[in-house]
Amino acid sequence: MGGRVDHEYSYLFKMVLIGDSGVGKSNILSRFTRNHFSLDSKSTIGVEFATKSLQMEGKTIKAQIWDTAGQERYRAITSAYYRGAVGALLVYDITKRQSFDNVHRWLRELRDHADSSIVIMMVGNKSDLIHLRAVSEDEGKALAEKEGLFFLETSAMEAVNVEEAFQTIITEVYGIVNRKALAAKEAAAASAPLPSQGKTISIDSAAGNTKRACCSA
Amino acid sequence: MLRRQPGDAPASAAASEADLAQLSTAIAAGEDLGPFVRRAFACGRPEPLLASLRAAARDREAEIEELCRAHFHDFIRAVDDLRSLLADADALKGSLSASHAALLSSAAPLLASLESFLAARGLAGNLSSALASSRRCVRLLALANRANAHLQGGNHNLYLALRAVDAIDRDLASGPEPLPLPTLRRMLLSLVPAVRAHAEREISREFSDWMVSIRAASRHLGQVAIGRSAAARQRQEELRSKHRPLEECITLDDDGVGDLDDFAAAAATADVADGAAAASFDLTPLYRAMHIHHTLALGERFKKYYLENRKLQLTSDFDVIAATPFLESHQVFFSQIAGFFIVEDRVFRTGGGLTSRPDVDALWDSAVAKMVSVMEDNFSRMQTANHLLLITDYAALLSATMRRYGYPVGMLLDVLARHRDKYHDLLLADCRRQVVEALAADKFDQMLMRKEYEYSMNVLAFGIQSSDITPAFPYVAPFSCTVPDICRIVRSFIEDSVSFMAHGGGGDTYAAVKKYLGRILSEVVDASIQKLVDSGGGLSVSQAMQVAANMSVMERACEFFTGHAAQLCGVPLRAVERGRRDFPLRKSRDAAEALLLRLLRSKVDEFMGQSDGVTWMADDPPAGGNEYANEVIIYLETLTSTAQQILPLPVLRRVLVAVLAHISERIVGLFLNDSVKRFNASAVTGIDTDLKMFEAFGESMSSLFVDSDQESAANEMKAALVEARQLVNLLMSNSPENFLNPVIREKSYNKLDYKKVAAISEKFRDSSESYFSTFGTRGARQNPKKKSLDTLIKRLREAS
Repeated sequence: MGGRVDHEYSYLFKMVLIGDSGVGKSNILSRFTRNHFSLDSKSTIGVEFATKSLQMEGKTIKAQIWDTAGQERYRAITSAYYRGAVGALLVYDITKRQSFDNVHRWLRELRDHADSSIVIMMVGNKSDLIHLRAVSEDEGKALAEKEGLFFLETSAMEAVNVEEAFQTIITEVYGIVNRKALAAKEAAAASAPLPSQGKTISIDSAAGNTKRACCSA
Repeated sequence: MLRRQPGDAPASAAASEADLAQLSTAIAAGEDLGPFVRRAFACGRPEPLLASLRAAARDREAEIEELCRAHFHDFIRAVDDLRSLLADADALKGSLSASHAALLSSAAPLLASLESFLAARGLAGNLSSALASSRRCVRLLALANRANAHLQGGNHNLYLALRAVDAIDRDLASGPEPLPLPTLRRMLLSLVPAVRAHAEREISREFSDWMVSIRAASRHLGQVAIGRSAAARQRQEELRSKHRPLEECITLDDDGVGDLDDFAAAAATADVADGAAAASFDLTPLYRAMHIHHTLALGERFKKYYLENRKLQLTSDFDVIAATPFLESHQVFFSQIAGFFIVEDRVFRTGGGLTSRPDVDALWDSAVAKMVSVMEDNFSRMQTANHLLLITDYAALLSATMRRYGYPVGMLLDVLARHRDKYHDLLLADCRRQVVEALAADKFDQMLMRKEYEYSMNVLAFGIQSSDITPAFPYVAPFSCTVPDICRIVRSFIEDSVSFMAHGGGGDTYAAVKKYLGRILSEVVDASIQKLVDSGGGLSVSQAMQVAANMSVMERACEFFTGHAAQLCGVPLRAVERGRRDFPLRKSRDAAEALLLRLLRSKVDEFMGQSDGVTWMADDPPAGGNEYANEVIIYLETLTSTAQQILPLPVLRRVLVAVLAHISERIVGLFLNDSVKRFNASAVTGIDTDLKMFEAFGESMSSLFVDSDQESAANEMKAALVEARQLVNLLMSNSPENFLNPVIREKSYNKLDYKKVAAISEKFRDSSESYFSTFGTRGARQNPKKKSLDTLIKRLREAS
């Protein structure tokens, strides 16, 4: 009895889904982790979790994805929601102009609470509802470029671009983690032959610390 | 007759009379006369007794004769009556014979009618009996038909079917006679238990279905109830913190939860997909099952069955989390249990004794023990603070929900409170990592902000603006990017701490949050900055200055932190201001200033360490001072122009005073240096010129401190250089032996050390001798300064 501790992965990446209520965050999550879509529009209560493991360059990466209601009814855990997140999907509904206009507010909250190096992808969901489109793809692309975000339009219903959205973030985060580890090794090597500093830096422990720091979520 | 004795006559007569009275009484009563006779003969005079007895006998005989005579007369009259009666009887006998003959003649036809009547009546009785049996059979069959119709009508008619069957059973059991049709009776006798068995089977099946559906519905019900508790908490928090415009903007959709019962709320929020679940909030199947079982006299068994099965369901609910990590399954786990007990509460209140308070309490106690065990187990293995917060948050919502239904939640809250320190330890570890990363990533340059949004996010958000006027953009801040980063980390810590305190355990929230805020500021922020500073880390002077500048901004930020924590806890700011504390980052601030000073001193030493800086045996004093002094002055002026922009004036003042004090020490050190063997008056004059430049620099710097006492600042600057000044004054004096005078020394040379003066004077004397030896022709004349210096040296040697 009791939860199992899963140590069968090299990295644990925490990602968060944010955006207005009803834009389809939960369906994006369930499509990615369980390949399941539900027309049931019941709102998420509190925070839900799902995980999925995938392979990258011979390493196992476990994506832990956090989903919450778009309302601020669970403000008690707002900070905790963002803490330790390395990636974020900022979701709007292409059939609701207001959800696109609110991207600015979500972006501001994200930058206020999350790590400055978080990888952000803007997601325009429900691309299958062509006849109801209220936000053009060009508009989304322009805003993403202006804010320095990744951008994709998705359809959780038709499983379009959902996998690609998460894959893009994970690839980017993985690259950042590798660069950080490399920089840590170089810094350690550079610091080693300075006896006047009076300290010895272990390259392995420094790299290990960096990895653990990046992976903990 | 014998002659009476004269003395005995009265006594004997009296006794005799009494005896006679007694004798009469005895005779009347029919008693035995033996004693009277014996006493008479014992006295010797029986004659009176015999006479009395003869008289009594005669009286009796007379009475008997009278009685016989009367009886004889009666007898004669009786015989006469009998004789006349016999005559009357004979007359009556004749009348009777006549009447009998008349009666017989008229009764014959009536007898025939009577016989017909009796036959008809027997037939009628048989017909009535047949009709009654038929009617009874018809009624029984009608009841059976009605029962059948009710059975076909579904379980909601099961009770009516049972009533019909009960009526059949009562008729069969208590009818006036067994049913005359054996076939029908056998059929009905087998039908009754069959219908009852069917009813029990059907109702049990429906009950089982209900148990399955109520379990699925309970999860939804639990989620809705917990969601409504969350909404209520949300409303309270919004009332408490009315000044959060940013978050209010983000609140896009109104929850709109009314004051509905949880069952109604769950049914209302159930979508089409939850149609079955919504219908399952109906407890009617349970009521029906209970009623049917009572009707079947199986009420107690059903109670037991219900309790056992609900217990099994609860145990099964406990295993919801077995397959998945608790972090992902805890909401389902808690919601299922919440829904279970909300249903039990409804059943207890409306079930008419189906469950008892001890039963429900026992279930709840086992559930609490299970939840406590699960949480303890998972918390012990958790290494991330926000995981712990999320679970405790949901557990707190569960507690709030169950409290609404009167369930005791103390043990649950105890678990949350017990893990408060662990939660904060994890949070502190996470924040420490973030702070260290922020410090490592900082180049300690002044932060550039191009937009008002950036200014708002990095300055206004933490109350670290230097004025209330929004500056022009681009804006260069007096701090580096570490400051807002650390502020964000600490604010996040405060919010997470308040989130845990406000909902994860009892007690004074603000006092606890303040304690933990003190911990993060001292153990994490202060320690991390101190560690960075103490290690040096290859920081340059400008970077060290930036760190020192950051610390003063952090001091204002710490006031924001305290106010923010108070606001989140609902404590008025006036109470907070009253309890204002010391700056919690004092150690790292002092360390930063110490580092800055350390670097500045080494820089000054670097300049003054140039071996060709001073010409100790020059023929003439250097014009405009020594080279090192000019370089130091230029460096200090450049430094100050930068420092003015970022360092607060008190810090800048302290730094300048300390640097000047160090310069003073170094100047004295120049004279003491082993590489300097001798120096002459020209060298002293040169040093004096240098010193005047430093004093002028200090004087000009004091003009910066117009807010505080400028004169005081000037005095401080001058005081910093006093040791060097006194030494130079002594060396340039014509009467150096005045140093030996206590009054003069205390007044003019109080900063000078005996040993230093002795060593330096030695070097100066040799130079004096050499100087004057060039004028050999005037050897006979003694220089008064030289003499004074010799006196000083000799006395100092004696003193040592």
